[in-house]
Amino acid sequence: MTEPRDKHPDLNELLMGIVDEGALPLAARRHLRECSSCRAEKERFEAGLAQIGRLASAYVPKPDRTVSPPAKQSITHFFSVPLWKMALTGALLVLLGVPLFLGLNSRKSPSPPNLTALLREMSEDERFRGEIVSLGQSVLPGLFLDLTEEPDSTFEEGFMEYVVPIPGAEDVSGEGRKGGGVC
Amino acid sequence: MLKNTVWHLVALTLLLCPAMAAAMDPPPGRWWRLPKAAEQLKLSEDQKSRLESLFEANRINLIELKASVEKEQFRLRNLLEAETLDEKAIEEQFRKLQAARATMDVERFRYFLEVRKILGHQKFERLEMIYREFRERQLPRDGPRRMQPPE
Repeated sequence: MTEPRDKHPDLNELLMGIVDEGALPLAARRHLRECSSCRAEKERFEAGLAQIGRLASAYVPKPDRTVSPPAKQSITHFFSVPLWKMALTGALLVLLGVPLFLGLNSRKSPSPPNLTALLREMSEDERFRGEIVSLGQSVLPGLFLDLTEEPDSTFEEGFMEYVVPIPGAEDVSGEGRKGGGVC
Repeated sequence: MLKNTVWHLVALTLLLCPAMAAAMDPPPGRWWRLPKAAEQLKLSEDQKSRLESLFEANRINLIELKASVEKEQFRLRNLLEAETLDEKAIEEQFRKLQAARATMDVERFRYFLEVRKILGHQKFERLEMIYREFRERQLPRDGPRRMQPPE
């Protein structure tokens, strides 16, 4: 059983008509439009709500500090810089940067090696190495080497000639070896 | 048993070191600075830097070790030239001299080994070839060998 729509809306329906009239059934909406007493009641409610809103805004305490959003102009961004400024900066960077880059590079690049000095050092090192090798070959003093190891032919001939002089050799050479013999 | 084997190996290495070092000495001096060597071996900056450090350390060590050998040699000569021979002291000094010599040879061999490690197999073989060519070209007909600037 449905109630006749000429029935006045209750308080809930009236408030719904103020907040969202579209949500009310069609008959209720029509009644609110056509019924003068209901319309007056609705207007009285609306006026009361408006008055509450005004009072609320009037009595809300003000903030201690005013917070304002930063102005758009204060935000600096590379792309927000005008084109002419960007171009000028670029040109200055190129003008200053290229010589600096070239200067640094020329400092870093190794100087051509001094070949003569390098070869001299290699020669000295080779001589040093030769000394090391000869020092390492035998640790005995020279005389002991000559006596214990196989002497070279020059030493052998010279030594034997000194120890056992060949008769007539003095005349041939023209140099006396007086007292050189041991036998 | 194992300990003995290790000692034998160490002794063998020490015995072979001088011969190996003498046979396989790398070129003298800072050869990696020669433009041709650097170009042909394609040495990296890291390799050059390591060779520089190695050369410096090795030469300082060799100078000190050579001096040690010479000192021991001098002491031995003094003992041998003494009017009365002290055989025990001479033998002891001879052993000291041999030890100093062995240390010097090990240092020479260590240099060779480090160069070989830095260069790697291929580059080391290439270095040997370049050095052989260089020596053949530099070897004069008479007199001692001397490094000459390349033509």
